[in-house]
Amino acid sequence: MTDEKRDKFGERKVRLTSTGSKLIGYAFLVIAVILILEAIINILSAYGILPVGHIFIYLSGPSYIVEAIKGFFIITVLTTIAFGVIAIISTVGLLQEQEWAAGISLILMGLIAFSMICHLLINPGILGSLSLALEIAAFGISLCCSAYLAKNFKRYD
Amino acid sequence: MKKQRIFLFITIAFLCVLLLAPSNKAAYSWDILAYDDGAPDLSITPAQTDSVAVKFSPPTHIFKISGMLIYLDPSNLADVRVAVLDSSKHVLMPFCNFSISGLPPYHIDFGALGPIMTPDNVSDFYIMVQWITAGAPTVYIDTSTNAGQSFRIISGTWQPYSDGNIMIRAQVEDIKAPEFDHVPMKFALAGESISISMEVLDEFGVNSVTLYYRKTSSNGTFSPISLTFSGGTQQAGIWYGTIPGENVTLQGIQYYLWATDIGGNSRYYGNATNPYNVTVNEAIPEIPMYVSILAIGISSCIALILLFILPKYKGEDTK
Repeated sequence: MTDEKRDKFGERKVRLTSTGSKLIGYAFLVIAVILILEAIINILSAYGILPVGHIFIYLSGPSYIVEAIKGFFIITVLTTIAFGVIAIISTVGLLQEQEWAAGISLILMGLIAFSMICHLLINPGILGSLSLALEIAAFGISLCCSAYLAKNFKRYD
Repeated sequence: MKKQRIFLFITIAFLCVLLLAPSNKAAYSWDILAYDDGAPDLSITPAQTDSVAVKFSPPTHIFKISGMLIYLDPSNLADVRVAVLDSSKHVLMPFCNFSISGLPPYHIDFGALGPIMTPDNVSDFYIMVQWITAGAPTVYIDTSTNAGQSFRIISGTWQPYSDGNIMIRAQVEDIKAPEFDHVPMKFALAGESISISMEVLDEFGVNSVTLYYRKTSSNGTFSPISLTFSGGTQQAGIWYGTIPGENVTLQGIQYYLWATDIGGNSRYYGNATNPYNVTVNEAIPEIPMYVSILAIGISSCIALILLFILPKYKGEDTK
């Protein structure tokens, strides 16, 4: 992939995307897939199709409590999907070695880490360990990518 | 030794809290839920054919007026005529004659006339008493309480008594069954107990809630579990119970609920022929916590190693 630019003298200047950047870009695509898969798994577990976690237990009881839990659950799923979409946007930017993409990627890594810690500490049993395992995988990949980005941030200037 | 004392103190404190905790059982009986209360303080001497009425405001919705108590001086008994009117002065029970004898208070049972069913949208009603015997009966009145309102007909209009409430107690009977607010459980995991919770509502108060369950394919009898009151009020409270995990198999679970109120009315939520079905799935084994922490640790170590071994980018690759 190339990025055609012109310097101050108007001459064509073709910038090559390094293999590392490509790898990082595709890694964020994998993260996006993992996050969207996690959201799908959470939805399937809530509807009892996939027997992971215990969210379906909380979807019974007085209707107003069930509505409140459904609300929180939907917010959790939508947040995960939003992270997945941000990861896709980062993928596009990272493949073009855009500075904004590197910044977004680092922020996304922080958000995934925060989400994973909340999931781990508050109650891993509610959403299930399969969901947690996916979050840990997404965190691990994003952390390794962040190490690369930290060393190669100048490449994205 | 010190630890043992602390443990003993905590245990005693816990037991005290349990003993002092308010009971979930109804603290009142159904027949005094709506009345003009208090002990008589003063007395009045109504004239013959004089009418007095007491206004009651029991919980809304349909209920039954089954009788009343009236205080009269036994030395000068008077027969009475009683009528029941709603808040718009529509007659729910026309004037009926009642003979009274013995010692006060005198119980007038409307049962012989059939129960008086109040409309669903009426929240207030009056019990009107008229003295038909010649003489000057003494009626005790109560000035020390505010509950209830007493009225007297003067020139065709209702006027509240300024000096207190007349001692007429109506028996208001709850005839509406409790209602459930429950989203049925649909899924469960094999071997794990199922907690069923719901809100049960009743104008006068819920007495008990029972959960009946069985294995789906057993076609046997349903086993009852008395649910526990866990919060709220008797009129709108949360009840919960647990189906033991050993009964939760892949065959599935069927359940229905039954609630009674303090008036003896009951309602089913589901029933034995049409119960709620819980699909039971085999649980996917949970990943132990230490494995999760180990995975986070390993990925953090890899990231750190990458941070050290990767060369820092300094230039720009162009052609």
